[in-house]
Amino acid sequence: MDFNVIMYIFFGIVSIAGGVILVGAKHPIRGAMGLLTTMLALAAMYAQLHAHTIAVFQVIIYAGAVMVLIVYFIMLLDIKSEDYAKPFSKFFWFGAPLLLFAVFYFIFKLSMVIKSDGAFFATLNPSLVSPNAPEAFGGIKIFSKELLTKYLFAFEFVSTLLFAAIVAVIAIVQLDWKGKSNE
Amino acid sequence: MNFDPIFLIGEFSLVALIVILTLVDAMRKPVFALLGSSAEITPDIESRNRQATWIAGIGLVIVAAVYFIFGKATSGESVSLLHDSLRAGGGVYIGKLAIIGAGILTILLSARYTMAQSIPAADYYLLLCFSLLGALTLIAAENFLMIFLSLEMMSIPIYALVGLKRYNSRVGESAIKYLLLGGLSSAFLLLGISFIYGMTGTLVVNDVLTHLSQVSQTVSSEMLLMGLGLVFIFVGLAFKVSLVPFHAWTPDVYEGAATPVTSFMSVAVKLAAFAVILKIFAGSLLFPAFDPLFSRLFAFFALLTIIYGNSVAIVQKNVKRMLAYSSIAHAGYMALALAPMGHNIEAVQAVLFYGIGYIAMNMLAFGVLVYLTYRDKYCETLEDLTGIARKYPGAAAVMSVAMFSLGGLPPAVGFVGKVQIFLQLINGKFYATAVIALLFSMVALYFYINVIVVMYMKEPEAEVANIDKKSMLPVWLTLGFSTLFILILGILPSPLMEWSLEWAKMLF
Amino acid sequence: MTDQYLPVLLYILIAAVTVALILILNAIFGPKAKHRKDFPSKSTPFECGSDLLEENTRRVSIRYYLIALLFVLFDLEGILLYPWAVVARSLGSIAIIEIFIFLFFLVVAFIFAYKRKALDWR
Repeated sequence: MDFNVIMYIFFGIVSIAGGVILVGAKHPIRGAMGLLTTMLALAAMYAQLHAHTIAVFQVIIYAGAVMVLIVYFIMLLDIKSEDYAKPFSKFFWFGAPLLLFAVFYFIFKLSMVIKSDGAFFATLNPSLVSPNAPEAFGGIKIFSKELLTKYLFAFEFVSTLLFAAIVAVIAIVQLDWKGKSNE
Repeated sequence: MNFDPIFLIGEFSLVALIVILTLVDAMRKPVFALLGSSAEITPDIESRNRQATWIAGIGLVIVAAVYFIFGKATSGESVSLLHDSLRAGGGVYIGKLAIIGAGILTILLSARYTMAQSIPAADYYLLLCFSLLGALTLIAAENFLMIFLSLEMMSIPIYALVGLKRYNSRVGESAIKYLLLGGLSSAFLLLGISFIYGMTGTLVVNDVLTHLSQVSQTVSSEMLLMGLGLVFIFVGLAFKVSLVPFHAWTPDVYEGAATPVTSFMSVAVKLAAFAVILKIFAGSLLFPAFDPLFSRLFAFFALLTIIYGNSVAIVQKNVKRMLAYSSIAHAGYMALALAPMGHNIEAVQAVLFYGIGYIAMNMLAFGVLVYLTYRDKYCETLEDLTGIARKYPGAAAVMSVAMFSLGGLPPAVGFVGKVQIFLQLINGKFYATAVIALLFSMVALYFYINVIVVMYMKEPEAEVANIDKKSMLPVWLTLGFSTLFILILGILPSPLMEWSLEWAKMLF
Repeated sequence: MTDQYLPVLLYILIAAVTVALILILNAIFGPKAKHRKDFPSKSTPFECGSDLLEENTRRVSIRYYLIALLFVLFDLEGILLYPWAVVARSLGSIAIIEIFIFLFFLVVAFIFAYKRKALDWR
């Protein structure tokens, strides 16, 4: 197997492990670190798939800004240790095996189909990037070119979406709003 | 770049309205103070609210007029704009008018709510306009990227609108519930889109459908992965239209949100999300690899939704909660027509007909609840409605019209809509489904009629409180328009049928 | 193509080895505990070792949250300027129009935030 493919699978496992830590950790900062692991592993996976620009964006936006946001909120909330040291609900021990069973059953079924349908997967390229991909695929130049020509409307629409998000944040906070609820 | 701005005139004028509203509010001084200000207490906030309400109301009417007049030219042939980002013109014209109309009705309902001091009116209307913008681009979206972005554009402002009165703990609960479940549904949608994109290499819906038509009928990994993608997309959108089992947020959010917001999200969001479901699935049901699976899936979920929504609505004491469960059930009726839609365009038309008619019925029902506002408290429970017919015969009469229409009795538009849906089911040979659905719409009659009984035949326990009738003039506009819409189109449904057929042709 | 990430991989490996080394040395030479309860400071939010100055049970101003959220939103806007800068020259004059439309909404949103005193610290 190709070294890239091995690394891809490795980072996939790391990202899932990070997700498990995020959900399972009883300590908020540990959960946040699990999330950070997932985000960085995802960035590594994007890089393996030659989506270099997306990998950089992932690191800057998620591992940078969003993680700062999350750690900052954990700091502000300062959740007491008693609150997060609570054991899992008893439904967890019922639901988690069920979920695991469902996932493994699905993977099993899928692998059966793949086995019987080898022809289709033989047409797929074993390496991570299609040989038909253009030169410098996933680089910032080709990415920007697509974004600003083919996906121009989406690009402009995102600025309106961010505008909407800013208005939504300020509307919820209601800073200079003296009028309280009359209920 | 082949791009004619006339095709997006509605969106552009709405964006202009948003910018004007933002900048005028940013001045922090009442610019149009002349417009009926009774500046006594905190003149600043109240006049700003008044001004924002006026600008939003008049502005949206102008947007509708501009789109009605200039957009008319585009209603002939639909074109794909901006590298397959949006498909504008053609039948979408009707859909966009219906959604802008729902926005205007909502503004009329919320005028009194926002002119008081409790919330910042400018923010409220900005969020409403953003959500409208999202709905407009959502029904016109041509590729999955735009579908996702528009869906977010439509939902994010509504999360904030629901939580706008955040001093109330029930409001906070409903807002956070909607936000978390909405985020989850977006994640499902994205997962589905990435499956589809991974298998086809394209984001344009029509190209994806072309790929789907080439999938072989035998069980193969290609079919499995594409089908999985379609299922995830369906789950993501089913959250928005609140089909069982993705309905859990609906009653709490509808109850917690202010009544005008509830009315908006129960009609505009539902119609737009259904238009997307139709766009993606009406085409994919044509293909032998997916038709039996998805037809059964839709029929199953629709039946589940109808049974659950109608049975739980019976025990509700709170009218808003009852209307929430009824809105779940109505999503079920619309989803029923999805089952046979792969075979004929009339099924798609029936869904759209029902969706547009549903705007008027639900606006009317929630409008009456807004109208019966006692001392800044919305009418919410059945007790609040008890015996109002003597004191407010008009409100009781239009509420009865709404209940007739929601229950699917003639001569309301709901009757025609339901008949069309059941006809399609029978044409598509879904006999058992049709019978069960019909049975449960009989059950539903109980709680719709119960509201009428309570209003007319019971004596109020306490004296019915007085309503500030003068401030309710805009609400009456909504009530009057919706009632006329329901009754006229209930008796003469052919124009609406033609419009929805036009729209259906574009989605099919 | 991904060969250029080898230094990053090396960096990750060195970091991992360093951390593992510190932890192992700590486990060998440091004080040993049977249970986490023996170290109450292990369950404080940041595990930084020094005790909390005060029990932080009071509510903090919502402005902290607002600033953090606005930071993320404007950060996103900033990120999206980067692709534009790469191709601005090759796209020609149309790029100027594109970015002005993009920045127009950003500026309107900024004016709104500014006038609502969202960026005011008082």
